[in-house]
Amino acid sequence: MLGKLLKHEFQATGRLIPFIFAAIGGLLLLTYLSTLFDIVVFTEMASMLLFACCGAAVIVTLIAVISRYAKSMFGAEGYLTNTLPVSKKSLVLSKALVAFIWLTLSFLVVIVATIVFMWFMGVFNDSFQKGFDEFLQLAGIGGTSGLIKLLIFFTAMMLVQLVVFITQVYLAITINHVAPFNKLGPGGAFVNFIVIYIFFQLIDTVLMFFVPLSLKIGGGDISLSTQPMGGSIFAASSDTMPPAIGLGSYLFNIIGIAVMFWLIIWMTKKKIALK
Amino acid sequence: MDYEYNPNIPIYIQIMDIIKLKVLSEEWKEGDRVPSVRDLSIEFSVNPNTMQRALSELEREGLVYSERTAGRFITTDKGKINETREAMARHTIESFLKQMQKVGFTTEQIITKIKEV
Amino acid sequence: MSKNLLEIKNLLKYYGDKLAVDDLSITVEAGKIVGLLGPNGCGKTTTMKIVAGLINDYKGTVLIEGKEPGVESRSGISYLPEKTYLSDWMKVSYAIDYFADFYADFDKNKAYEILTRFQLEGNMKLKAMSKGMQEKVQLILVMARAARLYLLDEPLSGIDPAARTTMLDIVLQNYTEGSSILLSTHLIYDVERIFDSVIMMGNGKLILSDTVDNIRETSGKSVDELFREVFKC
Repeated sequence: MLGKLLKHEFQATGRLIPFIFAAIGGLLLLTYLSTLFDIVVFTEMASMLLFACCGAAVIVTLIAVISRYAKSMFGAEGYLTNTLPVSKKSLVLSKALVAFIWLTLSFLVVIVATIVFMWFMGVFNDSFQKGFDEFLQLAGIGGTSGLIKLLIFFTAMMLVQLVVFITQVYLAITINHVAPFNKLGPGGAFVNFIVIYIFFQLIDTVLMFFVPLSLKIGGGDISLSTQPMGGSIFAASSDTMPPAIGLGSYLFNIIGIAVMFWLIIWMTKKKIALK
Repeated sequence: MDYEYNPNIPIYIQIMDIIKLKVLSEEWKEGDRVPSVRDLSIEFSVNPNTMQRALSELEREGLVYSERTAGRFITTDKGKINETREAMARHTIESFLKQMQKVGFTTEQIITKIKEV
Repeated sequence: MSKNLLEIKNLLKYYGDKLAVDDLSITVEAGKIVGLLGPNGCGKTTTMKIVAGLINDYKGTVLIEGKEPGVESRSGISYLPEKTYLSDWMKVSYAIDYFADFYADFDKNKAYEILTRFQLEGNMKLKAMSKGMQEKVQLILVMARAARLYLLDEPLSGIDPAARTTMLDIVLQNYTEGSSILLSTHLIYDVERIFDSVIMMGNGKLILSDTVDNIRETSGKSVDELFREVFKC
């Protein structure tokens, strides 16, 4: 059943988003052609449109994904969704998965479009290369292997953050439909989200600084260490990056995702009364 | 088929009357197979259980009989059909007389009126 | 295992302070078409939503074929709410495929056959259809399933009188001895002929539950007349 749910989720959400991605692709091509033929005005216009589309891609995807959850679970379509012979767990999971895929795709498209754009605008020339190498040395990252490790770390962190974000949004919307919160109206979901988000941020920051597990950057390499980030901040000199990034919030985030999911499923099973 | 049913009398009784008329008018002939409860209930636009009750009652009265696997059939017993004809006639006449008496006719006046019309 | 397809015992449902369903106890046997009657706000819709699995926050017992509402009961229940629950952007054919995907008892051919009877087509978009047409589509989706329990909440309310007969025919055609239909309606006069029995509710409470034949035989009134009397309208 999960497969069928996924199929229908994609069909329901994929009516607009792919077109924006296509628009980005088209504009990239246009910009490239205009640089070939050196038509500056065209290049400027195309570039502006491109940036606008990139912003739109992320925003539209976000809105599509959030409104899909709210409408299909608690709107009129909720009468259809919630009477399907599938578990609430499958329902929520299918929506979260599709949301995750669309959002990741939109970020990917924007990042790739930006890099490609910079490439044929000639940003990646020799002086850029030199400046970049100097920067890597200064930060203590060393060569490309260190850079790759760092990129993997950040990508993983971003993906986890994305799942946290999606779960927080779903939780905020779900709470908004449970008594006594259901009297607040759509603004209530937004308020719920802010509260949940701030809660997570606070705990994340505290854990990040004081849990003695961090990613140490320095001496030309990236490695794990048991030095808390908080300790290193106060010891670091002012003109370099903090030599360590705390990992303590990671585990909390993962547990947080599981707890939030459980709450969402429990609420949709037991506490919802659709109007 | 759009049958108008009297809302104050149980429907199964009204269905029985309709079917009796069909038999008496030879729309449904002796020995004919009676359609299934399901089909009849849809044609008469009534609850299948209601239709079932009507047919069971007709079976009890002998106008209809059922053969285990073959289904239900109209009786070929002419005596039974005449009985039904008589009963319906009597019932109709009684209602007619009652109604005419309400309107204000005596029995002689009713007979004269009938000859007139 | 009892003959009862649906068993409700002492059902209580609060919306805040308001008691929407007040100690309701009813049963529906298999193979019956039952009318659920009562004025607006009397608790009919809430009761149906609870049985359908849309409301899980209640007190009392609700058993569908002996089981509490859950994934299993939902696969055997075909629920038609009063509102339009299909999204605007959907085409009729998409909705049919959707139902076919999730409900093993859904008969696609039957759905298209009834669609044609109503002079509708699969490639119509819901956005472009009138409310009456949308309601017909929803009824078709619900009745094209071979479910055990059909819950129809005011299926005739948005339908023109000509189409009502067709809809009742469709309901009757779907009757099988193993399944039951619980139908709530205001239009008692037109519809009472298809009911085995009726359940009348008022202010969330059970007012009466009896067979239609019994009501006519003992009171000499139609269900419609009795209803008007009970609710003095």
